[in-house]
Amino acid sequence: MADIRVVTDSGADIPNEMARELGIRTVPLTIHFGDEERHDGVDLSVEEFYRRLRAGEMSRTTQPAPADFEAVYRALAHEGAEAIISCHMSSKLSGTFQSAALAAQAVDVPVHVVDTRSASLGSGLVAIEAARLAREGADLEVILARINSIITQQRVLFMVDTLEYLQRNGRIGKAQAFVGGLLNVKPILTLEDGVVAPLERARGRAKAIARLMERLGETAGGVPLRVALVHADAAEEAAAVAEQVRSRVRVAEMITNLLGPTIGTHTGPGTLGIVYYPA
Amino acid sequence: MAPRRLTAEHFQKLVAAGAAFLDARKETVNALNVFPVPDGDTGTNMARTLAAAQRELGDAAGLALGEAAQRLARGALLGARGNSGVILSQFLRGFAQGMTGHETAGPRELAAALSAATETAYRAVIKPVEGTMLTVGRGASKAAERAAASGMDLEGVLAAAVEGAREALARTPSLLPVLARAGVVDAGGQGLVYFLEGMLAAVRDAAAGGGEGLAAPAVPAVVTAAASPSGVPQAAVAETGLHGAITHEFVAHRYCTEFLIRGNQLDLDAIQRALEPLGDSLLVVGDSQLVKVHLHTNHPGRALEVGTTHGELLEVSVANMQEQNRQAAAHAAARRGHAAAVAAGEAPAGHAAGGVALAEVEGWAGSADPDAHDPVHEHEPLAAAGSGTTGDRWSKAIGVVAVAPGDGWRELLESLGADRVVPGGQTMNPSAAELVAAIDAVDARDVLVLPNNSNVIFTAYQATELTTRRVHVVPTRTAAAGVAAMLAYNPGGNLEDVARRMSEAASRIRTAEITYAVRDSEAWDVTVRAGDCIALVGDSIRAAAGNPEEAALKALDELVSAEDSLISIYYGLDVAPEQAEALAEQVRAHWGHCDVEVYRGGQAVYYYVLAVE
Repeated sequence: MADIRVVTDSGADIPNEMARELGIRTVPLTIHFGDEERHDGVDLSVEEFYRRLRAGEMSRTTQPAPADFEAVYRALAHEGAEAIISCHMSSKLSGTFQSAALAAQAVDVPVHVVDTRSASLGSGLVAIEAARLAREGADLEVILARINSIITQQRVLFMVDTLEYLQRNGRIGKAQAFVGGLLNVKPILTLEDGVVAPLERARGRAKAIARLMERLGETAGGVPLRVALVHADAAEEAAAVAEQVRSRVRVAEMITNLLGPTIGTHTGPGTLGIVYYPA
Repeated sequence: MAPRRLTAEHFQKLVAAGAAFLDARKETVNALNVFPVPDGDTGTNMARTLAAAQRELGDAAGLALGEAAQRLARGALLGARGNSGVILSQFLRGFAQGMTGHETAGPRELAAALSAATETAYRAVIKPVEGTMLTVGRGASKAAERAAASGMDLEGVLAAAVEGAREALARTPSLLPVLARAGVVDAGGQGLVYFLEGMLAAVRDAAAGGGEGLAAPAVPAVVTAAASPSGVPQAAVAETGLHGAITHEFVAHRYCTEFLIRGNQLDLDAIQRALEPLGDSLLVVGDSQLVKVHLHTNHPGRALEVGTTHGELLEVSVANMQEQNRQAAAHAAARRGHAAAVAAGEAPAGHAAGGVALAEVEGWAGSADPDAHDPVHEHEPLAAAGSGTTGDRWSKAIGVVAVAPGDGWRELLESLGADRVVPGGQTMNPSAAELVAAIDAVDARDVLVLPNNSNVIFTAYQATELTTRRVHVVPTRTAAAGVAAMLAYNPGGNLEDVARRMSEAASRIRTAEITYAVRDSEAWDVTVRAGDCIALVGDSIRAAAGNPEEAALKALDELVSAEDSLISIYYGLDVAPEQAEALAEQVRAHWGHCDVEVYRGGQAVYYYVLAVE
């Protein structure tokens, strides 16, 4: 039974305890506030991050250097890993995948770098399931096939308070079409081919969440789902939304977490997202 | 002596006379409105449609009658404004079809052409409603047929047509309850009667040896008890749409055939002549490089062959209309059955087919998308955000043309992504040609049209027939519904999906319009006195008050429920921003569970448009 280990990045928004328990290694991106540099999950907490954002500060992110990945891959190999699966955010949203890919070429241990074509727990759920399968002793091919399957079936629905963050950071993708509008509209977006794409708009937050739920219901297919719910520092609302999700679709498992600084930089406060696929 | 046969020149004079007669009485027709509101426009719309038709006809000297009728029809189709203008243009289109190949016409040909006119007009409307202009047209053509069969001459046939039309007009209140309630006849029907009367007067004038001006016949008292004008009620035409779909059981020409011909120096007249013998409802539009053909025929193959001799065929579609009718009838029966089952508690309400089952869509059922990259091995460089085109020459997949009743609405619609906004409100309905121009100007592969007014819906459908572009109508009945639809607009989405979602979004809001009454009316549940501010909700008047704000609050009382969360107030030209804000404050105080947003709509006639969702 091969010892397969899973690596990801701070854009996966995996709850810390879960990552620890499953032995998933998370490589942090760097969060920049002006000249100040912090590392997501290392010396920058989620709470501080949103506090600063709400105070009007602006942040940027930069991907980990290949060397950062190399260090992690080598360390894991040293611990006995015989193969590594490195799952990352969409390569169209971040250079993280590229860094990992370069690092993979530089180390001896076999590293399979995966472009999840997603972000936040869309990427994280892939890593989680890979780690679980690895724990159960599944073969590498089986795990990779399952990863492929999840990536193609996974759906993402999210709403942002404003498109400003996506636009400013250059990740707005096809949702550029939704910029502007004299009404107080909230965009409802998805990820399509690894980039942000528009779905529709709603007037006000309550209606946006209602439309998210309706779209979830339309596309659930009546089968049990693995669901992730991520929010940008809106815990009460997230709990209420989780209730709605459970009443609308069959949930095999739901993981809730905050959107960390890596993704939060690009979406802004007030973001709420749902990732789901058949369990 | 009255002419024994109708020539193109006679025809031109008769049409001019009929149009002038109607034009002189257009305000009377405008005032014929079931609602006692200030913006009746049936008369103006029909008059302008005829004016455009006549401009296209030009000088008929030297033309065959069939050609003249054809030109008149083309001008009417393009110049059609409002539902009544569109139906009138369809009458003229059918008339022209009936006159195909005729140099002149005698009484029998005239009667036959009038029947063709009626048939075409009925066919153009998916759900024809009796008690409207259609009924009056049929009254005219049936009477004309009887007169021709009994050997009458041209004047006799036309006189019979006028009589038949008048009788049918008088019957409209008995056919359409809302007319009866208001105690009036149908406006479009009245317009048609005036048109025919004007033509008859000109024939009699010619018979009397005169020829100048109109000898106006005695205008019949068309209104009954309540002595109030009427109009084509919004409700009657609200659900209808224009298409070749036929509602009659028997379909004379089975296949609705449409295709584009791409070529060089395409000769539209030649194409038209070659296709005319193959069926009816023929429309040939376009230019020397690209022509769109629409035809109902039993020989779609022959029609396509004609196309191939002129250029290459694109976007060919052949639909079996009889089969469509069968299926539509079956669906309607199934829906009634389902509704009955739900009512009887035997079936769950909600989507009969359920939401789109993910298992049926996009290979969710386990099999991987064959087009997907293998994410494990792909190393894609960081692509520029926002890249990705439709792969062809358009800048996006779907564009939007929207009609706006005010410049505030225009700004709202444009800010939500509408590519072209056409001005047109309750009193200024855009013509089909104006919509076509806007459609043609959009830089997108497909175009969606939002009429944003129930009186523009027909015009929008007609416009889709008159352009070579790929275009569909999202049948929004108000500008507020149009704004709601635009929230579901996604320029890069799948056309059917986006159009459906936009329609659904439009139907999720409820609206009320606040204006003033131009006359007393007892036809509604509330007593209305001239000068009252009134609230129109759906198809009825729900409130009357001394000022617009009071009427608005009363309307909201009816509309707002505990489940609603947003009330939008769009104020018109006659309202100051402070006034609208003051109303908003009152609304917030009264309905604390809702957000209230105020926007300038800039519409005429309606102080406020309210939307609740």
